Amino acid sequence: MSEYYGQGSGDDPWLPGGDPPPAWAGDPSSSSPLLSLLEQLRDRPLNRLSRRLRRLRARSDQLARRDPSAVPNVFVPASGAAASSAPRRRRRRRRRLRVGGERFFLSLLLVTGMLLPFTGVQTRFGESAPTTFVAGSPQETLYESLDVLTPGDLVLVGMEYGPTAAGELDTVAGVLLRHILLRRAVPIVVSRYPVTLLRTEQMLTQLGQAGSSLATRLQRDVDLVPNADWFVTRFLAGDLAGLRALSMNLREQLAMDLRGSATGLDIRQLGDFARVLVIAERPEDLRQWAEQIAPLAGSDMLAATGQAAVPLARPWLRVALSGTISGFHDALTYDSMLLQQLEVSVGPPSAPRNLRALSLDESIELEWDRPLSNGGSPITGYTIRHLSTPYLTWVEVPLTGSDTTHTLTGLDNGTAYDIQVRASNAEGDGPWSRQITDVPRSVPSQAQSLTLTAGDASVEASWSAPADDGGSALTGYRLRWRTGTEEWRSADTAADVTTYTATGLTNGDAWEFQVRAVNQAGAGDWSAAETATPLAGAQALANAAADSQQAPAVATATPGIFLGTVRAGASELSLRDSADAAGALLGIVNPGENVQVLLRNAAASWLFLQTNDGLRGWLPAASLDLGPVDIRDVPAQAAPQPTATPGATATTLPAGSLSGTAAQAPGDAGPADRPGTILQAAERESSIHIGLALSIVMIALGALGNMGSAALRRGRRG
Amino acid sequence: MMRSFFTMLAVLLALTTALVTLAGLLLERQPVLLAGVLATWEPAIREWSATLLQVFSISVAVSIIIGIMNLLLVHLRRSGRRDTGCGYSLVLFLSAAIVIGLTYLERENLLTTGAEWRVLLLEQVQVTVESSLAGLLLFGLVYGAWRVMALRVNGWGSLFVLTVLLVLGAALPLPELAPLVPLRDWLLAVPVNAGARGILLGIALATIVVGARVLIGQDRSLRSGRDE
Amino acid sequence: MASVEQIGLWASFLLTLMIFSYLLGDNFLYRLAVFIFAGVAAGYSAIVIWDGILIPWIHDTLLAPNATPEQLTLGAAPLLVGLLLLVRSWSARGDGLSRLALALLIGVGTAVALDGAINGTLIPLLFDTGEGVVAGNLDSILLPAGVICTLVYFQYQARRAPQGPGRRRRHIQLLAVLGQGVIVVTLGAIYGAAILTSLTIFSERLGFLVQQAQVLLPTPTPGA
Repeated sequence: MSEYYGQGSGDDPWLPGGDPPPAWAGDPSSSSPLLSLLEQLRDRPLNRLSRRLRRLRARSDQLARRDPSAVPNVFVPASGAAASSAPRRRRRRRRRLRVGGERFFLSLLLVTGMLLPFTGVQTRFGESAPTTFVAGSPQETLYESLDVLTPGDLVLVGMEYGPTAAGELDTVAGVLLRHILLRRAVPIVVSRYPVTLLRTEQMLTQLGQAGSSLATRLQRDVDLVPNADWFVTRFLAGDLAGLRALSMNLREQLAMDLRGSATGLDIRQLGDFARVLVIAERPEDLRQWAEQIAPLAGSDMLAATGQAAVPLARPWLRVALSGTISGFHDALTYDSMLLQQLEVSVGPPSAPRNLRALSLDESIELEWDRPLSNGGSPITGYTIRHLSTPYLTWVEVPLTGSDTTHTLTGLDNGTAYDIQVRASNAEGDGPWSRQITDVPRSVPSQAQSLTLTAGDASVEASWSAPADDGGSALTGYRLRWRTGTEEWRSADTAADVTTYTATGLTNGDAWEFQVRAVNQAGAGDWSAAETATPLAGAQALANAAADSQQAPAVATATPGIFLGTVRAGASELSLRDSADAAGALLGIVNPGENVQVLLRNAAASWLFLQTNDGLRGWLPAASLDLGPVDIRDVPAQAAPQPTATPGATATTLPAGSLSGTAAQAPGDAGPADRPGTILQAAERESSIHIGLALSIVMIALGALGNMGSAALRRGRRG
Repeated sequence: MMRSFFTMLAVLLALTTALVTLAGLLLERQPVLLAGVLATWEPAIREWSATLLQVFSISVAVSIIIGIMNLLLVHLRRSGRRDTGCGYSLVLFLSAAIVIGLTYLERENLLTTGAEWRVLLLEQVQVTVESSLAGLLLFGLVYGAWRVMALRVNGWGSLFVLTVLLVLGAALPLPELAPLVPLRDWLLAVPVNAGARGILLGIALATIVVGARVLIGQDRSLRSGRDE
Repeated sequence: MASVEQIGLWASFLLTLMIFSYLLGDNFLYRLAVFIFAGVAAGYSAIVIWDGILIPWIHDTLLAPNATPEQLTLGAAPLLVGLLLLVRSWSARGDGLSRLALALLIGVGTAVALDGAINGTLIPLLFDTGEGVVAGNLDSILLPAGVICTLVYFQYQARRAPQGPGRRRRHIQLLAVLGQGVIVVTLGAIYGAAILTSLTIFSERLGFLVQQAQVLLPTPTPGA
């Protein structure tokens, strides 16, 4: 419509002879070049609407004063804009009063007529929306296109409308999102309207609440999970260029959600989406998606618009769009079709996510996350397959149950293995996950030839490299020593340093020494113990020589630092990212390994530690020997700050209309709602029909009246 | 002197960024076609182009934040001046401050009401007002159509009103008006489609003209008043 | 004491009425509602952009652990561009610098718009319009004919602006008149479609008002 209204005079008065425009619309101090730029970059609905209203009023008043300049020049020949005589003041006032009266009368008529269906009066006017779309129509194409989505399919949804269009497009967006979720596909929402992102998050939260008709049909007894079942990504800034930046920097854009939290999405190109759907308020938005996104998308683009955008959306059919729906009427039909289709899609699960591996001796420990969708049927098991370079066929390892960890054994150390995993349910096998490659490594064999040279309160130890490095380069050595049954003391050296002088020893005591080699897979076995007795005044020269080569000790005990040793018989050796057995696996520790203990959890059941390789993570307290230290002396972890999760934004809002204050997602007012129906549908339909009929009559009467007046004027002149 | 130096620099910068970005965008659309021509530079151009787009997007976000701050400061100043409309300015400033303040308090768990104030404000104020404003357009549009031939009754005006009536009539699901539906469908499929295509092609051609002006350094926004 | 939700319901009910009071003419209540809305919209926009874009950007670039000089430069660039644009409104001296920032934005914006206009609109729409002719039926000929007439009409309008009304050849004039007809029909359809959308939105508002009134206003009990 802006093309039509844009042809008026540039002055754009608030009201002829009336008040000035509001400060925010025309204040000189607020209209800096920056704001002018912003105005160009972001077409704020606020300004647009206000401008439109002002222009409409000004235009109609000018029309009433017979001011030719007010008429869009498309109706007037270029030479026909003849000068008009200035009307007299009295005539003008009378006309203004007439205009005000006419406008008020027409408004009153429209409001009264449209209000009737909501007041309980049985006013059924016009036929209801059909229950199916015409075969082959763009609407049916869109429905069919979404209806063949398979579980886990990703759908890019552009929610390109602001609250101005909420009364119309919330209904449309609601049925489309519901359809996508019913197919167990995953909507990933982007928008260039900041507030729309907040509202969409709200809408999806309410749609997916346990007990809603959607959750009931999906047989879900828990809420749909944000950043798993659906995603609302961060604001897409930059208008047109921002839209193109979406395709150029897709991964970065989708990596964060609306609140700045990581989404875990790793989508690199638009072709990875099964569908691209844009719900647009303005034809300009649709044009920009058709120009910038559609040609790069791997599938046909689908569009939903308000009625106002239909004429300018039409040319994009076949060119960029394969299916479209528009307005409340189509949304009602769509909703009926969804209701008729009582079967919820059941199929194989989607691919497991985040497959990760940990190299072990002739084995690889695997862990993965469950698929986003179980396909509507519980997961019965997983299948792992691996392929090593010399072989050309995959080796499959079927697993039953829902456990998401497994250790592949019998592998060759030093050989690279490609690995994938897939989930299965009663409906069949899902797709294979992203492929990872890992190389099993063993720990090195024993370090050799440990020899000791006693000094004054010190012992110099030297050794040679192990015969077998386990298929992975050595990362260093660990030396430990003790006297009698005291706690072991230890020190680490670099891989190329094979001597170490232990100092601070008690002269006259027999000190027992052991050494072991370490590589990326872990530490090898301790060497056989050797013993030496340091003596006062002995071999100062040897000590000096040893000092010059000494590697820094990293595990000597200092006050405030807690050391521990992994228990020999510990059953749990996995370091996890949280104090929870379900936490993600970060690495493993070896029995007998010395570690630095940094924190404990509040219950003192888990310890946060750092290995000498720099690896940090949580280990069950039972797996660690803290020696004489009381576990309660280890600093406790601070209570975690509650983080705002998108799901927590749900609020109890009154059951109301589809949009507006209640932000009620269409068809999902809650468990008490009729499953999957649009609220106030019949009343709204009738109200629209009555308004439509009244509008037609008014416009026709206005035209006839004007034609009659013109004929009378001509008659008088004649 | 300094001004023309900056103008030259600005034109050069606009030209360079436009060309690099354009090359990256074209490579994204037709990698096979252009890869041969730009083989050596392809990865670098793609990266530069993506980076420029990213910087553009973030710059716009920064500009919007600065613009909002500017808007709030202007209204804060106005509200202190006690002139016409100062009350409105105060209301605007306070509304924004309340939204930002509530968001902060909610995030820090300092609100004990248990209600989602921020969501409530969004739905009960912003959506309500914007939606109602959009609803008001109805009266302007109907009244505009009612008076469209008030000035002059001519063929074009009549054609316009007839088209409006046809579109509205065909949308009213009454059996008596059913014959209008195929006519409306044809109208949308052929003349309206043609007109809309003409408008879209016109916009595209105008964009190309404006783009060409930038590429040859003739864009006015890059020149200061004295340069012109 | 009224609950938060009830306050919200009253607020939305009253704000809707305040906006609709515009039907009686521009007035204090209407303006008050619009200014409240403007403030709330500014607040929400600032929050979403701050949380979703600026904070992650600063964390990933300027505050990234072991950030490289390239990362720091990249991170600072948009902040600098934003500040330079602001400088223009503060002082005339900063005009030159701010034009450099503007040049960067104009350059990128132009490239995206050009690519979209050529590859996204011009080529596909022209091809699609031309393809229709091959079908050979009347409509498929009328469509490209209508497009050509529309473009001719636009060209006439564009020429008129600098030179005033000019003379045209008769067949061009005929095409322009036909194009004007096509545009009038198109505008009529757009106008009608806009009324349909407005009707939908207004009916939703009316339904909302009635529903809120039923919840908020006490219904008279018989005999009361």
